[in-house]
Amino acid sequence: MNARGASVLGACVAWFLSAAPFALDAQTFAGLSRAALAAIPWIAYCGLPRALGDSGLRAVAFEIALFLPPLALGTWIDLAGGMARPEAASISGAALGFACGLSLSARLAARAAFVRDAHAVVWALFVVLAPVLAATLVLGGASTFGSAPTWLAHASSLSPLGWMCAQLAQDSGARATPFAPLVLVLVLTLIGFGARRASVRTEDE
Amino acid sequence: MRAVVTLCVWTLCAVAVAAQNRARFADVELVGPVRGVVLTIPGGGETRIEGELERGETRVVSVPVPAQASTNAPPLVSFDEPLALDETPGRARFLGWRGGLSPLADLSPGLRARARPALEETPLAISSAALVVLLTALVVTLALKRRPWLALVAGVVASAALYPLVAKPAEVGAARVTLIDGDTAQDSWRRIDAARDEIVVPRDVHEFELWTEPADALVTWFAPLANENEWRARARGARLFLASRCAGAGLTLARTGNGYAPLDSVWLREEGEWRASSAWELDAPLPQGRPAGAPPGWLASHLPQGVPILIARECGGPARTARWIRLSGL
Repeated sequence: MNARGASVLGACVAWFLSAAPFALDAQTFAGLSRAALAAIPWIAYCGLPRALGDSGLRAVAFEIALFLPPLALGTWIDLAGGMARPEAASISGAALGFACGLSLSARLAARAAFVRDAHAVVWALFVVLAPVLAATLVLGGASTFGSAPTWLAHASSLSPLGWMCAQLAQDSGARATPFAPLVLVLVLTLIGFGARRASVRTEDE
Repeated sequence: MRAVVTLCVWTLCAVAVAAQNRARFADVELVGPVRGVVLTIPGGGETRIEGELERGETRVVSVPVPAQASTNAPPLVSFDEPLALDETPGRARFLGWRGGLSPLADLSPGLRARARPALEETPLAISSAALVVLLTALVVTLALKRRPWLALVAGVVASAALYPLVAKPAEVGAARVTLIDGDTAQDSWRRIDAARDEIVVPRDVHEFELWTEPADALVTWFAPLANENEWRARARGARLFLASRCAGAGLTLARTGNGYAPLDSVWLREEGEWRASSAWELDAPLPQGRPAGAPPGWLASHLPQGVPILIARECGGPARTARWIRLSGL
């Protein structure tokens, strides 16, 4: 399977994970933000480092086109369930922003091997590992060892994935504007633009 | 030894019950001009005193604060509505906590141990067409893969088409439940008002406890200056239970006649068997009833054994409210 085929397959898997909860009884997810639930698989998928050459920016629009309906359905359910409009707008807006930014950065970075590797390291450390490690410590070790170290909590707060997971609970007190995750998405996008420059320079030479 | 153990168990239970209360009264002195006074509890929760006092006005108000009885730290006083630049600000000062004994302390342990009212979920109506639209959007988007901007337009259209397919049912279950728990041998009964997200303290309730599910829900009390005692508590996503004591109405409710209120959905438990009747009219004797299924689980649990139990719902009342009575020893 070529890079584009893998990309379409990956998007379909993310779509399935995102849409599957809507096929279950609504009460199964009572108390959870359905928009955040639909967004989590996409945020995890969109920033995934791509194979070299899988850098077509039109694919970003394709991914967002797939992502929009499940996110919209989640948002309509949240609103019907009593969530305030600003909160619903904040979650869905952030989800869309994260998906666009992460997808763009991953595809831009796929133009040069070195930059793609750098992007992959930053993405793995800050988008995935930090929140997973922090959650593991908090869920598994908090009672014995106390809360996670401050540096890990700070690193985790940068993650768009971590922020979206924090929005899952509808009565969540953590409805802060996602400044830190947006900064990380911006940094990843800048790394991606670095690859674009590198590829232009290589072509010039 | 047994007495000591019993005493310890009761003390622990009392501490546990007291720790759940999220309504502790604080006396606050307000000297005008002030408006938008907020009492914040370190660790979560606040009370917002609504309204304002003009220059020269002074008032001492007693307001509910979501502090637990075990906390002695005073609330932090702040203002969320700034005064005009040329106004000399007044002040708001926390004077102290009022009372200490639970208003439910006089109730018998049996009444205090009875189950809280259950609040029905409000299920959303999601049309099965929503799944069809989602799948159609997937197929169309995949078909338009080579024209991603068109696919994006299709995604937007599908998103808009999903909006009318999600609806909140106009009438589902009771949004507010009042449960009167009584015993014919007791003078004081327990009253619990339950609601989701927000609860208003009834006018005839002056001393109360507020319990929340989850227990650590972030509670905000609103206390209007214009109408003292018209308090309301809000905790998003939580169930709120306002527990108070009310006068027993045992004398008005007897098998020979109903002097309490017209009742429907009546169950009577005798010798372990539930008998149901559709109604018990005012002044009428208790209907015979027929063997039928037990009442809803939350009403039938934690009840004393070996005594007759009456469970009934009062007729009428505002829309989406239900008022139940649960009486032992009839």
